[in-house]
Amino acid sequence: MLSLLSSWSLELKTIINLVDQGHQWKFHGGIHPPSRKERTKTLAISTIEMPQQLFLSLSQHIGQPAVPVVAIGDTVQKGQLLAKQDGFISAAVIAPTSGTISDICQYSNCHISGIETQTIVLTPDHLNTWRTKLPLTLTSDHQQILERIKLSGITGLGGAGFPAAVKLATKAAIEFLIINGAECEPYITSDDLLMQERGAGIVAGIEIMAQLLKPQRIIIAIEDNKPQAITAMKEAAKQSIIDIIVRAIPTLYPAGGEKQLIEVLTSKQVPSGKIPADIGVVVQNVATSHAIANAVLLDEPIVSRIVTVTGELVDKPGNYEVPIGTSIEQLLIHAQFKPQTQQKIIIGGPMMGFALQQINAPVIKSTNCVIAASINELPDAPPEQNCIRCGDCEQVCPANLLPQQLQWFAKDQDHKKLNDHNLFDCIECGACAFVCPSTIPLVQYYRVAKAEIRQTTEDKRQADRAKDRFEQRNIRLERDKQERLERSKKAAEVRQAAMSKNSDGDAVAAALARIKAKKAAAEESSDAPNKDRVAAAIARAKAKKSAQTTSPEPAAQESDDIDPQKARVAAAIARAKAKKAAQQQKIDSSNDQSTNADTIETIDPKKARIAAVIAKAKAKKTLELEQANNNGNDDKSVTVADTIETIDPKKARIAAVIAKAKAKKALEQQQSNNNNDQR
Amino acid sequence: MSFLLIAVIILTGLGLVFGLLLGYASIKFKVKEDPVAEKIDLLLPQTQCGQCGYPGCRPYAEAVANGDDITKCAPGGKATIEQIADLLSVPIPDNSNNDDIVIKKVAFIIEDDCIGCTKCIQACPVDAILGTTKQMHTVIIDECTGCDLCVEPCPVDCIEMIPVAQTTKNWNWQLNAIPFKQLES
Amino acid sequence: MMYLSVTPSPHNLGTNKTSRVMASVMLATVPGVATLIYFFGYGVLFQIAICCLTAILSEMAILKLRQKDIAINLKDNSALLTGILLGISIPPLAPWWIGVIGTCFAIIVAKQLYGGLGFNLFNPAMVGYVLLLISFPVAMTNWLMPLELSHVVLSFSDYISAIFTGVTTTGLSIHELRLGIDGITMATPLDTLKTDLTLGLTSGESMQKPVFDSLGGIGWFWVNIAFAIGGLALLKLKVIRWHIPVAVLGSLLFFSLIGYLLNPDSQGSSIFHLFNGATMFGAFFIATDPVTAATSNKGRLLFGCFIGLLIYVIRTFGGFPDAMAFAILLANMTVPVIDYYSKPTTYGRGGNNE
Repeated sequence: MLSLLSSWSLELKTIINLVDQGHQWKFHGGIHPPSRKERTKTLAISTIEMPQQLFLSLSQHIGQPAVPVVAIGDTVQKGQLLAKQDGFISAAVIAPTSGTISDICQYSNCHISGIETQTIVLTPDHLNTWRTKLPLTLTSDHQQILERIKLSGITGLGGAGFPAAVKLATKAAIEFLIINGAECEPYITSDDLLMQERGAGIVAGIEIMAQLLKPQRIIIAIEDNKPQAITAMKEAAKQSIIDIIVRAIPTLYPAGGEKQLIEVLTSKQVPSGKIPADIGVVVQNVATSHAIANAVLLDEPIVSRIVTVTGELVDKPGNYEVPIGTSIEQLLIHAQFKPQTQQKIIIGGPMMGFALQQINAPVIKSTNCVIAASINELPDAPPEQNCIRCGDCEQVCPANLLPQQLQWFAKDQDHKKLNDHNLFDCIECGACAFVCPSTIPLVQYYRVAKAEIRQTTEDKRQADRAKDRFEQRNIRLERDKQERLERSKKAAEVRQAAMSKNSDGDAVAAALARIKAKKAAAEESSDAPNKDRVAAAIARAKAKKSAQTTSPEPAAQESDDIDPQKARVAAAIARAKAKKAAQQQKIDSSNDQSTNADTIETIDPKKARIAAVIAKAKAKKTLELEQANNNGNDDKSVTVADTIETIDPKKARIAAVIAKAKAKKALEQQQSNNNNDQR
Repeated sequence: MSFLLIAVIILTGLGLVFGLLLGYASIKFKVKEDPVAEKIDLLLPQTQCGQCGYPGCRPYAEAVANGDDITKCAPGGKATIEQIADLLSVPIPDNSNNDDIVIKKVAFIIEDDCIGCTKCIQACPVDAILGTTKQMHTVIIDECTGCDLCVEPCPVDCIEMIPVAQTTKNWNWQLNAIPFKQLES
Repeated sequence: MMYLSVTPSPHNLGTNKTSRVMASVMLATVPGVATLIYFFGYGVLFQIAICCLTAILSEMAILKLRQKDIAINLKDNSALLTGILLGISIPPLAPWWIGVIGTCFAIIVAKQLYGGLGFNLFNPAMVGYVLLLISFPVAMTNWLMPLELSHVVLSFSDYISAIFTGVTTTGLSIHELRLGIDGITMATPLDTLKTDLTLGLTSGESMQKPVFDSLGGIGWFWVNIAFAIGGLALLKLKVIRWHIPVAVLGSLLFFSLIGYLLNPDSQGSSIFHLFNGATMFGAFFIATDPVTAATSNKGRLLFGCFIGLLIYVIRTFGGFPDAMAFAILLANMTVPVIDYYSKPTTYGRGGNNE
C-alpha cells in the first residue's frame, strides 16, 4: 500500500525533488532505548598520555588481515606503514607514533570472540616524530587520492570497520553521498563531539569524497538529540565550496544503521545482497570523513581516534583522542576506572557492542566507545522464558523480518526455513531482543544460526570439491595405468620388430615409439589446473623459506653442497631422529620417576620404527628391481612383474605399517603413562 | 442372488479400472529419483579417508545403501549419522559415539624434514599435496580433507595433523563456551 | 580480583515483561468484573476465585509432572489470567465443580499438554469454556437475570450456599432464582432473542420483554461498556494493539448491519450485537491473547475480521445463543495459515526498488 503510494508519487516528483523539499521517510519499527549520552555529551575532546606500548592488531577491519612490512627491531616514525593491505577488502596498519617494533606476536584483539590475532607491538620513543609528509590537494588525480586513502589505512570509523577506499572506488553513478552523524546507539558521543569541534575537517573530507564520487546531493544526517552538532555542522557546511545539506533526523534506534539511514533520507531500500552503491548511494561516517581529510590534505594517516569512555564505573568519563593500539586497560585507568568484583566492559554501544573479555585488548580503529558498566547499570538478562508470540519484536524490526519465527527456526536449526525467512537480512541491531517480554536473547540465536549456516555451506562446498578431486584423481590413475600398459606393449612390439627386421626399419620404429612416448608425456603434463597449483605451491614454499631464513641449518646446508640429495635425506632422517630423541628427553625429564621399565619402553618403539623403515626400504628395493626387470622384458614378464609388485611389496609394506603402528601405540601408551604419572 | 452377482461384477470392474489407472499413472508420472546410494554419498563428508573400511566415500555410500552399518563414518560424526538415519528412516544406533565433536584437522608438512619422496602425494585421495621427486612437498590447506592417509606413508614422519585454528572469521558465536575471565585488578 | 561479565548484546533491555503483560490484562478486567458484580451479584467473584485457585493448583501439579521449574513458570501470571478469564465467563451461580473442571481442562489439556505457555494453539480459557458449554449446557446457560429484575434479594452466604450446594440458605434452587416476577424463566438477552425468533416472534416483539431495555439487554450494555473501558486502558498501556479489537468489532458491526438491513425482523441490530453477551470482553481480552492470535498486523486484522464474521454467523444461524468462544477457537485454527500468508516484505526485498 505504502510502496504503491510512494511509487505513484515518484512519478510526479523525483526523489531528489522530494529530498530538496526536506522530505524524510520512515523505516519500519525502531525503538527508543534510554540514551544515557548526558554524561559525556558536553565534555570536550581531550588527549591521553602516550602509553608505554601500543598493540596494533593486523585485523582491525573487515576482510583479510594486513601483512607486516616491518620486522622486529625496526625503528619507525609516526605515520609510517607497518602492514600493508592484503587483497581488495583489507586495510593498512599505520604507526601511531615513532618508536621501535618490539614484537610481532599473537595478542588479544578488540573482538567479541576474544581470539588472539597477529599484532605488531610498538614501543614509543615519546618523540612523536612524523615521517615526511606529502600532502595532496583537492585537485589531485583521483587515482592518487584513492591510493592515499588506501595507504592511510582508513576504515569505517562508525563501528563496522569496512575499508573506506573500497566504497569510494565504486564505478557506479552516485546520486546521494550520505554522511552518517546519526550516532543512534546509547552512551556514544564521540561523533557528536567531533562534529561540534571539528566540523571544518569533516566538511573538507566531504569535499574530497564529492570529488571522487560526483554525487548529485550530499546529506549530513544527524539525530535531533544533538542540537549543538547540528548547528556546528550547518555552520561548517556554509563555509564549504559545495552544497551540503545538513539534515536533522528523528531520534529512533537504529536510524544510524546504513540501510535504515538510506531509507530515512531517500526512501530507497538497498536490495538484499546488494550494496548501497548499487542504488546510487554511498554512506560514510563523519569520523571517516574527517580521517580522509587528514590523510589527503595533511598526509596524516589514521594514527588516533576519538573514544567515548563512560559508564558508572569511571569517575572521569570523557571523549578522549587515543592513539590506535592503546590498551583499553590504560584508557580506563586514565578515566579513573573503579573496578568492582564483577562488571561489564562494553566496546561500542549497549545495543550492538560486545562485552570485552580481555581488558588488555587494544583500541582499534572501530572502537568508538568503551562503557565500564556496573552490573546494576547494564544487568544480565533474566533467564529466557517461553515466547508468547506477542509480536513486539516484529513491530520494532527495522529489517521488517519475523524475529519470532526466526527464533523458532533457529532453535530447530532449520536452515532452510531460516533462509526462507531471510535470516541474512538481519542487521543484528538488537531491537527485537530489547523489547522481548520473555527476555529471549534473539540476536544471539540469529548470530549462532548464521555462523552455523555459513559453516554448513562451506563444509558442503569443500565436500563437493573433495569429491570432484577424488573422482578426477581416480580417472587420472586409471588413464595412467592404461597408458603405461600401452607403452610397454608398444615398446615390446618395437623390440620384436627390431629383432626380425633390418636396421632401417628399426630406426623408424624407434622414432615412432619416441614420438608416442613424448605425446604421452605431454598429455600427462597437460593437467592444466595441476600445473597452476604446482606453481602456486612452489611460490608459497619459496615465500615460506625466505620467511624462515632466520633459522638456517648450516650443517645440513654444508653437506648439501657435497652431495645434495643424499645429504639432505640423511639430514632429514637425522633431524627426525633428533626430534624424537628430544621428545623422549622431554618426556623423561618431565617424569622424575621414570623407571627402568620406562627406558626400555622408550627404546622399544624406536627399534620397532627402525625395523619398519628397513622393511619399507626393502619393499621399495624389490619394487624397483622388478620395475627395472620389466623394462628389458616382454609382455609376459610385465604381467608377472605386476603380480609380484602386487604381492611382494604389499606384504612388505603391510609389515612395515604394522610395525610402525605398533611403535606408535607403544609411544602413545608411554606418553599417556607419563601423563598419568605427572598427575 | 443376481444382486450379489451384480455387486461382485461392479466391484471387480471398478477394481480393475482403478488398478489400471493407477498402474498407468505410476508409469506415466514416474518421479525420477536419485538412487539411495547417490543421496547417501551427498551426505558424506567426502574426506575419502577410508576409515569406514571402504576405499572412498562413494563405495561406503553404496555399502550403506545395501544395508551396511551407518555409523562407520568417523569424520562425519554424529551429524552425518543423524542425516543418514533420517534419510533411510532408521533409528540412530545407540552404540555410535554420539557425543564426540569432530574437530577438523588438516595435514601439515614440516618442510625442513621433507625429503621429497612423493609417498604422501601418492597417498592423498584428493590430490591436495604438491611437490615432485626430491623436492619439498606442501599441503594445499583448502583442499585437504583431513583424512590422515598421508601420515602413515611418510618415511621421516614429517606430516602432522593440526587442528584448523579458530579465527575471528570462523568463530561460531558460542559465547557460552567462554568462561568468566579472572583478572588481577 | 575482578570479573568481566561476558554476555551477548544487546546489553540493555526494555522493561516489558511477560508477567507484567499478564498482570495488566488482569487489572484491566476490574471495571468489567465490578459491573458484572453490580448487576449479577457476588457470584461472579466466587467463580473467579474458584477458577484462579484451580488454575494455580493445576498449573503447579502439571509443572511438577513435566519437571519444569514451578516458581519461574508460575510467575509469568499466565495461569492466573486464564483462571480469571474463565471465571468471568461462567454463570455466577454455577455449581463450584463447573469452574474446577473447566479450569483443569484449560490448564492441563489446552495449555500444558500442548507444551505450556506459548505453544498452545487454542486459547485455554475458551477451550475450557467450550468444554463446559457442551458438557453441561444447562448449568452453563443458567445466567441469572440482572438483580434489578429479581424478586429475591440474595445475601453473601446465599451465593456461597448456592454455588456449593445448589440451593440458597433459604432453600431456593437456581432454577427458582431465575424465575421472573411473572413466574417465567428469564434468560440472557441473546438467549431470549434466539428462543423468541424460533417461536415465530419478530425481533421487535422480542425486544419488548422485560430483559431488554432501550439499550439492549438490561445490565449487559453496561458490562460491555465496562470491558471496553478496560480494553481501551490496555490499548493505552500498549499491552495490546488496536488491530484485533477494531477488526472484530468492525466486522461484527459490518455483517450485523447488512443482516439487519436485509431482514430487520429476524435479526438483532448492530448495537444489540456489539453490546451484548461477551462481545467486548472477547474482542479486547480473549481475541487479543498473543499466543493464539496471528502475529503480523495484517494477519491480526484478518484474524479479527474472521472472528467478527463468525460471531455474527453463529449468533444468527447457529444453535448456541452466544458465539465468542466458538468464533475465537475456530479463528485460532486459521492462525498458522494467516501467519503464513501475511508475512511482511523484508527490507530490501520489495522488488520495486531501483
